Amino acid sequence: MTPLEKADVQGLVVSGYARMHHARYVMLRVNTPTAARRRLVDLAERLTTAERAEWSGCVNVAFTGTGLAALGLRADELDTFAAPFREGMVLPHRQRLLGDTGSSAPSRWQWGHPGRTGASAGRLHVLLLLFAADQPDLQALDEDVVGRLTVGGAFEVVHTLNPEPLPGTQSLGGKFGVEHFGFADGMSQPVIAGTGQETGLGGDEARRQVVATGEFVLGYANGYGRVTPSPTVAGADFGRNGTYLVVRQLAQDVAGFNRYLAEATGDDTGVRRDEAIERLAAKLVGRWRSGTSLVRSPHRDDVDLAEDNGFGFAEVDPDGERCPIGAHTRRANPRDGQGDDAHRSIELANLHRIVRRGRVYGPAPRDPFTDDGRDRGLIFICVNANIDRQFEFIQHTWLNNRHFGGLYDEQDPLLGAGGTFTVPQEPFAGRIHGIPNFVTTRGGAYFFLPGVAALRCLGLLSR
Amino acid sequence: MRQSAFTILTDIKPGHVDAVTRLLDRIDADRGRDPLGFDRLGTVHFASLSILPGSAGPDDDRASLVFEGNIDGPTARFLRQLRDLADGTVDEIYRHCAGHPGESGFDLVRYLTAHDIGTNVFYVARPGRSVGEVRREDRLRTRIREFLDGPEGAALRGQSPGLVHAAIVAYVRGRRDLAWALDPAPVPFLVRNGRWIAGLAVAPAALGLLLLIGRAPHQHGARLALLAVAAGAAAVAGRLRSAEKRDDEHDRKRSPTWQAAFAAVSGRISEVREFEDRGDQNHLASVAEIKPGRFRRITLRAVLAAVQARARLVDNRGSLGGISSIHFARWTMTPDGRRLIFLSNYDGSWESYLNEFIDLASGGLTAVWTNTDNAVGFPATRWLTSDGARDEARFKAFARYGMVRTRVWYSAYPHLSVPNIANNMAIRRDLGFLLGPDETRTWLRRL
Repeated sequence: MTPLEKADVQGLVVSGYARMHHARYVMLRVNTPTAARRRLVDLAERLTTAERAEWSGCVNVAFTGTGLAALGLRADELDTFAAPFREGMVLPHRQRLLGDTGSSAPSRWQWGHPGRTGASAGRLHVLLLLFAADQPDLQALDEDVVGRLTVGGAFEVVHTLNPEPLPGTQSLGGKFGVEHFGFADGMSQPVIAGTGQETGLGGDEARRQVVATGEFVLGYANGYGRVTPSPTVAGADFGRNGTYLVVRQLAQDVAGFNRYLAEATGDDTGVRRDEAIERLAAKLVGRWRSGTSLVRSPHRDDVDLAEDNGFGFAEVDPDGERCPIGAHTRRANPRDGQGDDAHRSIELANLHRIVRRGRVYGPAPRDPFTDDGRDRGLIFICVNANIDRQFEFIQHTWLNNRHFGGLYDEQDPLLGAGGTFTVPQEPFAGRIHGIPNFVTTRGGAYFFLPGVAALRCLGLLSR
Repeated sequence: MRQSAFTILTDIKPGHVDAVTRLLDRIDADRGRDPLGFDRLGTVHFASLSILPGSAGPDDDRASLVFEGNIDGPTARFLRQLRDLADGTVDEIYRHCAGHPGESGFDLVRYLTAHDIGTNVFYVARPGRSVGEVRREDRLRTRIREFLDGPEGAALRGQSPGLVHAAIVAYVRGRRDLAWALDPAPVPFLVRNGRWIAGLAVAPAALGLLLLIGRAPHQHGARLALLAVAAGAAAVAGRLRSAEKRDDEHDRKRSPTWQAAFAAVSGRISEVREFEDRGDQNHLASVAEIKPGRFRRITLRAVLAAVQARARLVDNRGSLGGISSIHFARWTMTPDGRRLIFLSNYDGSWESYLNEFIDLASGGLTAVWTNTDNAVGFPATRWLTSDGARDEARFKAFARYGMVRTRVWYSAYPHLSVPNIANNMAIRRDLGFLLGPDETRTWLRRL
């Protein structure tokens, strides 16, 4: 296997920078292309790579299709990029695939929306990802890096996202972040082959979690043993050691979620039954709050099992009597539970993996049952080399598929609205109707995260 | 009830493409009012109308219209009913096609029948199941589910599986609109017996070969016969491999590159996608040029015949080559032997459908499409079934390039997936029987 050329790969691919508790995502617009390209040459030297990931102040950068066009790439060069990236996230067909309709429609987004205002899709060119150990460091990093880019008007800041500092208001032994609904997040990530992270893993665990380098970085063999088509700029391979980044701002209705759980489990006197609430919440998510899988512990949360991610569905829970077929995490990664052949199921599921690098935004509510009117949720970020087959596939074929796993007409219980949710049990399955919408898309875009050398080349283009 | 397929292919009169496109789009926009009567007829599973471009490239204006039907009962009867129910609209469409005199009193049924080019492969996920049955069985399951969701169901919580099953049977028996479900549905002969018939067909050839091999050391005649068989097989294989190598050579000189050829049609592909994912099912209409020469044509015919035999005899229980998201699909060679039309009605998105092609059935699909070409070109193939579709990026580009935008599409049960239909069948099949404890549990899980 080809080892990853770490010095040329941006650090975000291999690390979520967990030790950098503070992050800021700055969106920029190219004002003067020539000056902007010159700044990029300097920025290339400042980038954090996969080789030396965690020193204080990490910087990564990614570009939209319109951004690359603004920087001088020609139409025939842009044609060599992957179609979803080229077309952008806002397209009627893509909205249907991603579920960006109704209250999640792009026309309501805060950024990445159509039009010519703020950080609209046409004005959002560059995403700068800044990470630092503490707030003063982050501020200094911002002033330094963004300052250099915007000096003389080469770039202009159009929007800024400020995720909550890690480990957040709630945490689980500091190991995993906890998202706003109160569940440990980021428990299950693929391990990228060729990074060295796979070396400790053996046999079964390796088979389940280690995924080909080319699934996450261009220029290496992917899950089919082929090299994913790579963009070409000025006649040279521009994609090598680069990848595609998906960024979406997903607002979570925490009060709505908690109120729904209480109402759905409350008895006639309206008394909240904590245990029933926890059980229902776990059925919807597929894990207990600690992250413990329902497959491992079907009846109660068990913190000791939280880190056990080596479970499957095929053997213990083929019918979903522990973890419902339609539960959010089972949809998001069906593991060995699709079809009759568990091994093959894992192989096929692993052709649709993503590396998640998102962070929570917005403060936790003081009272989990009261809508305080503040925006909060997840800034979802994921890395994948093939947007169609990885991120988008997960969205339309697993999460949003009304017939997932033989179901009749159901939606993801967290992402869908007004849906039915089947809870398999003896002697016959229970069904929950009319689950409201808890998650709303507030912004989104596809980015290209170039290798360091490619960024330098981009900066040195003479056009 | 036996399912039939018709593929009515007619040339569009020169200069009429825009007019017929507008007409079809109007019909599709109006689908809620059932302008072609498919819904009222009640015998159409899926139907579509698409416009195939001329084969000589984008400037070729000799387009043709393809009308696909997947129906219950014979085509002739259906076309007569269609004429009687939607005469005006159907006639309006075909006024734009060559051979239609453009005036009334024209024998439309005869015209449509004469232009039906049939299918080389016709795949039916569930042979024998009529539209009515699919819908009835879905109603059965819905009613049972409502019963369980209601107060009676709440009372059954905690009861034994056997008791729940009995309560459901009593409920069904008590409802006049469901009582039919207690009689099992007939299973078509080929679904019951196809597998051993397939075995019977293959066995003599295999047995003969074994016999020859066994006798060859002793009998001169057997030696000669074996030699002849081996020589024949080697000749065909050699011929095939050299054709593939020639294709590879041709591909290396391809200009523009396949990436550029694909990028050049991104506008057309967007138009195709605009029609997709409006609901849970999708339609795929595509056309590819069959590679020139008799060898490719014969090979393609043989492969399609083999796929058809498999679909009829073996893959007749909801999955084709391991793919269980196809309701109805067909391959049809045009009468001039120059083009291969593929039409499919499937569950889920195009991307997931293509991934199933690649992951589950790449061998068979390669054997079919490697005999065809377009500006992207089918990926390099070895020995008819190897590589080919496994080249994911190129195969997807090839498949997308060949697609035409479906203009009118009808599905009789847009809310049901193939596994849903199978599950509904199984619910009815075991409803009226006394089941053992494990079988009862399995049955209850289906609800």
